[in-house]
Amino acid sequence: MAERETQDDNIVICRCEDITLSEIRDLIAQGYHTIDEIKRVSRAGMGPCQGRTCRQLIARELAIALGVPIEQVEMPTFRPPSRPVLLSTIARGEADE
Amino acid sequence: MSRNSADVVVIGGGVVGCAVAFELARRGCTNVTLIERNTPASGSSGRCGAGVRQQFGTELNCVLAREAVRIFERMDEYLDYQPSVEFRQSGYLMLAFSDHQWEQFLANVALERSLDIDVKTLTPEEALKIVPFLNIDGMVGATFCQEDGHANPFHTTFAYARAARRLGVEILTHTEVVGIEVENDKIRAVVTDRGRINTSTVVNCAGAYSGHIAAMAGIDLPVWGERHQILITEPVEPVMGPMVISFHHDFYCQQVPHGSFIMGIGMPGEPRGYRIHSSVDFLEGMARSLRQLLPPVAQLRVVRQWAGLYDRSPDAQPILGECPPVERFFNANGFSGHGFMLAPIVGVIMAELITTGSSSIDVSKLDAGRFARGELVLEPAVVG
Amino acid sequence: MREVDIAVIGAGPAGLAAALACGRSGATTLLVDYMDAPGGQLIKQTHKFFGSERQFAGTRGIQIPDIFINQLSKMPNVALMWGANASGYYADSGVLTLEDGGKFIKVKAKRVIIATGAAEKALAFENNDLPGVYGAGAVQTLMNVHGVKPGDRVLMVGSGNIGLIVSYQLIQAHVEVVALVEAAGCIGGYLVHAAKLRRAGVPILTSHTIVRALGEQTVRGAVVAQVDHSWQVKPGSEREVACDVICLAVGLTPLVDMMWQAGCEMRYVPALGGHVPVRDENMRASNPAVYVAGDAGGVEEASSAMISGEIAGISAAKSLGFEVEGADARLSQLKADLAAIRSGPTGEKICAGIERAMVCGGEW
Repeated sequence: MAERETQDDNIVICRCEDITLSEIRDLIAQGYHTIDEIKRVSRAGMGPCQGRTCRQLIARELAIALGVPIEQVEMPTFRPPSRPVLLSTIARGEADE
Repeated sequence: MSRNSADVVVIGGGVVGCAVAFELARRGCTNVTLIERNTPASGSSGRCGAGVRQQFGTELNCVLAREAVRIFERMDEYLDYQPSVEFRQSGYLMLAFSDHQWEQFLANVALERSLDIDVKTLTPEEALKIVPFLNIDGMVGATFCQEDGHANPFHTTFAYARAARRLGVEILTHTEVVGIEVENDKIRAVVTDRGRINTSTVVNCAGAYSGHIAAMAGIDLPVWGERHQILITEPVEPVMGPMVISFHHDFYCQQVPHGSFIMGIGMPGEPRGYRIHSSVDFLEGMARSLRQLLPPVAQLRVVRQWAGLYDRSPDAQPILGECPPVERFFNANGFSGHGFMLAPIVGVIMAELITTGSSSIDVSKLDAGRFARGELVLEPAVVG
Repeated sequence: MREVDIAVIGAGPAGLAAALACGRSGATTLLVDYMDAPGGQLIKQTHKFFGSERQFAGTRGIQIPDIFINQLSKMPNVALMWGANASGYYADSGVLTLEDGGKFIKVKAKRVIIATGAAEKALAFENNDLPGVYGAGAVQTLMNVHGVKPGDRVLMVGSGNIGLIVSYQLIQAHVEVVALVEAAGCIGGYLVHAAKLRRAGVPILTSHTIVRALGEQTVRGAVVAQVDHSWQVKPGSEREVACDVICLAVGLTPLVDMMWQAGCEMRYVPALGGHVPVRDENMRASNPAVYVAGDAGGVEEASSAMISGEIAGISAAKSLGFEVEGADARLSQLKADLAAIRSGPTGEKICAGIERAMVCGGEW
C-alpha cells in the first residue's frame, strides 16, 4: 500500500458534491469496490459534470487499493443531458417564448 | 467462491433480495448465499423513484405497505446503518382529476382508515396549502397521508446488504446464475458462472429477470421487463414536502433531501424488453407534464435522465411464495413499480415462509398460481 | 424534426475539417458548437503552427477557423449553429438534441461525428479547490480570448506542451511564472518551448510536485516538494512558493460523454488521455452511426485533429453513398500524413495508444 498523504480531508475529489479523498478512501475500506457503488453511496459523480472531474481520480484510488491496473476499473456511463437544461426550455421545444 | 453449498440461495442483490437475505439471517438461517450479477442496487433498486406509500386500494396491499412503513420508520437502528437510509415521512399527495377517480379515492380512503392508515381527503384548495404552487385546474380533490414518504434506495439496499453480511450471509457480486438443477421437483443446486452451489431452497428476487431465472428451474413465470424512465433536477432549497402523484397523468414528483426533484411519467406503448436507454420523447413529455402540474419546478434544470425496468406481472401485483410444482422455489418478484416500498415487509414474509412455512400476513392471494386460476388481483392505485 | 445526413458536434479543428469534407461530398451537414464562435482550442492558440503546409504550418491557430468558415458558409448543404450545446444523442432513434439559448432542438441525423475535444484533468492535492487554482486551458482562455490576467504570480504544474506554451503566454502578458513543476524526471513537451522559458528565467523543477495550496479565501502560495522514482514525496524537501495562481497542466482527457450515451465500446488508453471509443481506421466507432474525430478520440494536437476530422468526414459521407471523386486516394494521403505526424520520437507512445484504441484488424 502506497504511503498515504496526510490531510486527505482537504483534498477534494468530487467538486460537484464536495467529496474528499478521505471519504473515498473510507468507502473503499468499507468494501465499496466499484465506482458505481461509491457513486451511489456518496453521490460522487452524481453532480452536473457526471463524474468528468472525479472519475479518473476515484479510479486511480481503486486501482491502488485493489491492486489492479487502472484499465480494469469499470467506468460508469454518461447520460443525457451533457449539461443541465431548463425543463421549461425542453417543454417549449423550438417554439418561441 | 467460498461456499459450495447453502441452506438458501437468494438470486438478485436488489433491495428485495438483500432484505430477504437479512431477514433469513435474523431468524437464524445464516447459511445463505446471495448471488448478484453486478453490484447491489445496480438494477431496478438503484433506478427507482423510491417513494414509500400506504395509500392502496386493496386490503392486502394496504396492510403490506403499512407494515413496511413501520420498518422504514426505524430502519437505521434496525439495520445499524450509518449514515442513514434517509426515510422522510413527508407525505404523499394523490391528485384526482375526474369524478370517477375521486370516487375510487374515497373508496380507498375508507379502506385505508379501516386499516389504521391515517389519510386525509382534501379539496383542491386544501391541497394548495400543502403544495402552494400546484396547478389545481381540473382537479377534483386529493388525498394526503403524512406517514407516507421517500427513502434513499441506494442506502436502503446497502443497509440490508451490510446487515446481512454482518450476520453471516455470503454476498457474491459480479456472479451470474446460469442454471438451476432440479430433480424430481426438488432443487439440487444453483449453477453460476463461477461455480456451483448445492442447495434445496431458492428465492427468486431477480426483478425484471425473474422470468428467466424461473425458466432455469422449469417454471413458466409471467414476469417481464418494462422500461420506465425518470429524471432528476439540480438541487434547490426545500420547497416541496410530499410526493405529488397523479394517476391521471401517470405522473409523480418528489423533492429529495439533497434538494433535487426526482420525477417520472409513464409513456404509452412502452414495449416489453430489457433495454434501459433513455428517450427524448420521455424528456419532452416529462417536461410538459411538469410545466402543467408544478409550473415553478419546470424552472429548474434537469441534470440527468435514466431508465430502469419494472418487473411486470399480468395484474401488476407482486408474486410471492412457493411455486409448485418445484419444491422450495420461492418467488419475491413481479412488483411492477412498487417493490421498493414493500421490500422490508416482503423480506420478513419470505423469511417466515422459508423458515416456518407460514407468514404473519397471509399472502397466498399473491402466489404465482393465481394467473392460471384467473384470480388476478386488481389494484386501482398504481402508476403506469 | 430537422433531418440531416451528418451532424458534426464540435467546431474545433477536427469538427471544421470533418464538416468541410461532409459538405464537399454533398451530404446535408450540420456543424454545431456550444461556443458563440467556432475554433475550439484554436481561438486561444496565438502561436504559429509547425509541421507540413497541408496542416497550416506558419499560420497562427487563431487564423485557421476563418479559413474553414469561409468555405463552409458558402455551401448550401451545410448549416452552422453556434451557441448550441449538444445535449444528448439517443442511439435508439438517431436523435441529437441541442440546447440553443432558449430553444431545445431535435435533429434526426443519419450519422454523427463527435469532435468534442478534451478537457483538463484534475489533480488531487491539499486545498485543491481554493479559488486561484485553474486548469491551464482556462488560463489560456482568460488571457488570449478575454484579455484578463488570472493573477500576478503563477505556479505552473506540468511540463507538457500546454504547460510550457501557457507559461510562455503568461510571460508575454507580463505575468510572472514563479516556477514550473514536473513530477517526472524530464520535461514532457518540446524542448524548444522549454528553452524559451529558461531564457526568461523561469525555474523548471523536474521531479517536483505540488503538495498543498496555501491560503484561506484564495491562493497565496503553494508547497512544492521533490518526488522520487515512485512519485513519493521526499520528506524534508517541501518548500513554500509565493504565488496567487496555481495552473494545472497535467494532461487532457477526451470528452467522450456523447460516445458513452451512444453506447459505443470504450477502452481505457492512458497514452491517449483516458477512455476513448474503440474505432476503425476510418474513425468509425462500434455504433455504425457514430464517428469520432480529434482529441475526443485521443489527445494529440490540432494538426492530427484536422486530419482525423477529414478522415471521419469523408468516411461518414461515403457510408451514406456521398463520395467525391478521388475520395479513396485522399483517404490514403490523409492516413499517411497522420502516420508522418506520429512518426517522431514523441509519437511512439501515441502510436501505441492508437493501436490499442483500434478495433482488431482495423475493421468492424
